[in-house]
Amino acid sequence: MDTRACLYNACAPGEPATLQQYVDCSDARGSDTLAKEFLSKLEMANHPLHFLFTGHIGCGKSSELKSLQTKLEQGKLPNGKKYLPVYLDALEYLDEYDVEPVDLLLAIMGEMSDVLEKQTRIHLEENYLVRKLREIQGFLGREVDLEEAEIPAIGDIKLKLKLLRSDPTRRQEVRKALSTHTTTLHFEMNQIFLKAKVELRKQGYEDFVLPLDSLDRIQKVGNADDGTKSHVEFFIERAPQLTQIQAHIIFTVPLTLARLYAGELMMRYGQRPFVLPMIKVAERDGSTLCDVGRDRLKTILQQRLTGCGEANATPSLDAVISADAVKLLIDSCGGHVRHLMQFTQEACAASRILPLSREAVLKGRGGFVNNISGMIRIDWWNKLARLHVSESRELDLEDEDYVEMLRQAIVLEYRNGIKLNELDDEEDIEIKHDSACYGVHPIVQKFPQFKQAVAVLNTSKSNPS
Amino acid sequence: MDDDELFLPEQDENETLEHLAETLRLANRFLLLLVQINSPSDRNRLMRELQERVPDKPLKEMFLGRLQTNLFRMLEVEELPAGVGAVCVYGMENWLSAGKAAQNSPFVLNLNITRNLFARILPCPLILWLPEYLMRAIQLGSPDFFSVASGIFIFASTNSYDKSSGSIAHLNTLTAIWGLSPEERDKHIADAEKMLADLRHMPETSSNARDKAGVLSLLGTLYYAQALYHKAEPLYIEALSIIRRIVSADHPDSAVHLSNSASLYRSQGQYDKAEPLYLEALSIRRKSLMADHPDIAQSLNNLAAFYMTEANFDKAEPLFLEAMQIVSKSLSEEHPYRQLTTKNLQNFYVAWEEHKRKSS
Repeated sequence: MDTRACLYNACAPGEPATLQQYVDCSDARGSDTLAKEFLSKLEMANHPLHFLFTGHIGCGKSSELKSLQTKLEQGKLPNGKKYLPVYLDALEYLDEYDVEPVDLLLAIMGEMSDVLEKQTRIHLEENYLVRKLREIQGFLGREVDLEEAEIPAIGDIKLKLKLLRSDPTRRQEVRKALSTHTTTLHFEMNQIFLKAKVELRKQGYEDFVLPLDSLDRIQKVGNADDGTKSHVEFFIERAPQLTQIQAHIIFTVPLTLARLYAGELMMRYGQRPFVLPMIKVAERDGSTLCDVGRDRLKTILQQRLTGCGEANATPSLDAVISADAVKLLIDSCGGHVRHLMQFTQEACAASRILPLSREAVLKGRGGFVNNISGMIRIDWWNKLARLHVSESRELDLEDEDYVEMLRQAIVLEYRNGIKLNELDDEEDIEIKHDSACYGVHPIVQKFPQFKQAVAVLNTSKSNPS
Repeated sequence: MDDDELFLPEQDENETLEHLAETLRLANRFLLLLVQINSPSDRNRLMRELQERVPDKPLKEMFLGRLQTNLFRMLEVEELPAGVGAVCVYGMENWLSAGKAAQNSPFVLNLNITRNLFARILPCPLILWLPEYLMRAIQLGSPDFFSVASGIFIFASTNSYDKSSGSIAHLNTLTAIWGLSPEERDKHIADAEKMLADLRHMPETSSNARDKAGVLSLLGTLYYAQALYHKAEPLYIEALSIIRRIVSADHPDSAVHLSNSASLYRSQGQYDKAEPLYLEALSIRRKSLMADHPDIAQSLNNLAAFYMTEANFDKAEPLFLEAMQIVSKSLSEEHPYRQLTTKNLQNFYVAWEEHKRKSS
């Protein structure tokens, strides 16, 4: 496969980074990696930790979760303890759009039993839950032809639950059967977790950890009629169903929910969500470039070139993408890694010549530019300009327009990036760590309407009348 | 940051299509590609042209003509040819109406949920061909799905042969509408809606009725141009019924509205509804207009293009030829409609050749 095709396929925007592709960008994001943040909290936790994890769509959450999983699988942490990761992509078990927390509980049970079985050979004994789940088998058993040979009862569950996917009527029946007993369900589930923990201790593990990915993609819950209301329904109204689970869990939550309902989340989960911000490409003042961030983005591109040269060698970055083009890619993406991947792919398809030129990048990203121009409503230009020229770069979350812009990544969230170990004041750490700052997406900044709106604001600033 | 860069290079259809083709040549795995195109006939043409550019990558076409709720499940059970180059999914505009309804439809919402599952069942790119309003609906209703697109390809509707419409004057309107920016278009829609509301309040005189039919027709076309057929249909139907009330059965004015409705039905694939209306329009025009009136040519073109859609090339040929004859007599060489008719005829023979090649 030639270099261009190799790079193209290595930049698939939908795939989380592999071990080789993963780059630790914490010093450029201004926050720690998920692994660092989560593990430090885990160490101090005396109770089950319900950790909330968020960030823009495409900012790298799945990559961070995978990285955490790898770290845990590779062995002991600095404090000498070992944890078993039970990574669950919630939507692997669900392919219908309306989701209830009960579905999630079932999914967790399925994954748990599967991982325990496969990785640690722990068989969980019969109990109420298993019996209930056997009842569910009754709903499925008739039409389903299971070819698996002798599997212990609870190991069947994952397979059976995946089969539940294809049958909404059955799923409703199962839900009904289980929801009348949710308290019992939780109780039994927690008993199982406790048993699992004890068994794991025998094998040298301290405990297990449940990273739950993709919860932020749920767009419809119950009778809520849009995405945000659904998120409120799932994470806030029904929080007890999630927080009653006695295990260390990482919940992925949508960024807009984390920003709009910070207080409610704090009350129910006991902490603020950990936000994975964009990689900084410029400082808060907008014009000073952030070399660390740009450097990290370059490294990300470099890593994608692994094995793309002749005889599986790795070519140098400038042999494949010209320095001009690299600069433009970094400028265009604003630290949004998925956008970086997309623009790189588009540039590969826009030109047959290597190294890819600046023109190739410009041509390639045309579709994206066109698309985003249609998304921006007329009255948004002024708001964007106001955000851009403001000193504090704070976002008025009361304003629905700004929230929508955040959701659509027209406005990006960054951290102000002061490294924690540079601060010696306890108080400062708390404030600065949490202070988000917002920037207009660099591509949006190039639109004439934006420039005009900024010019108008700047003139009225210098000529107060 | 650099300020002297070219902001948005002008991309013509050929360049965009080549970009899409090159994407298919490079990809060796599942990717999501989104194509924006309002006109179904342009879309069909582009799919053909795309296949021509990547002959070694067979495109699997999946026309979704009726309500579906879960694309992933459909693809799970679909048989893909060996070495398939890409799966093309299109036609959702036939059953997804605009606005919140589309955004909140099971089809769109399920895309978000099943986003990560497509890679497991498809070894090749998935291309969704969408009119503009559906692109928006997916962007808003399934943002996670939308965000993993490897490419967004935007095609404007061109002067293609069956940009069929009620009359040549109407055709000019349609062309103009396609050239509008979304903001301008929305403004026109708002204006038309207001005019319509005002006219509805006025007493029913024949001039008010005519104006009402005209505004209904305009509004319908503003929606038709965006492939919002659900919205256009009732407007065209009402316009037609108003006109029929105030003019005689053979009056050429009703031919315009008959033609509009026929084109709408054709775009929706409702061929059995379209044909009689096309025939009636043609018959009215033959009776009521001078022998070489260009609008007769228009009706002939429409009907011929319709037969082409049904692959009825034998029936279409004499109609295209007659249309050509008429415009050669009544329009100058530079007249855009004469040029359009010439192009129609050329495209017709090319398509016929290809059809003969494929079925031999």
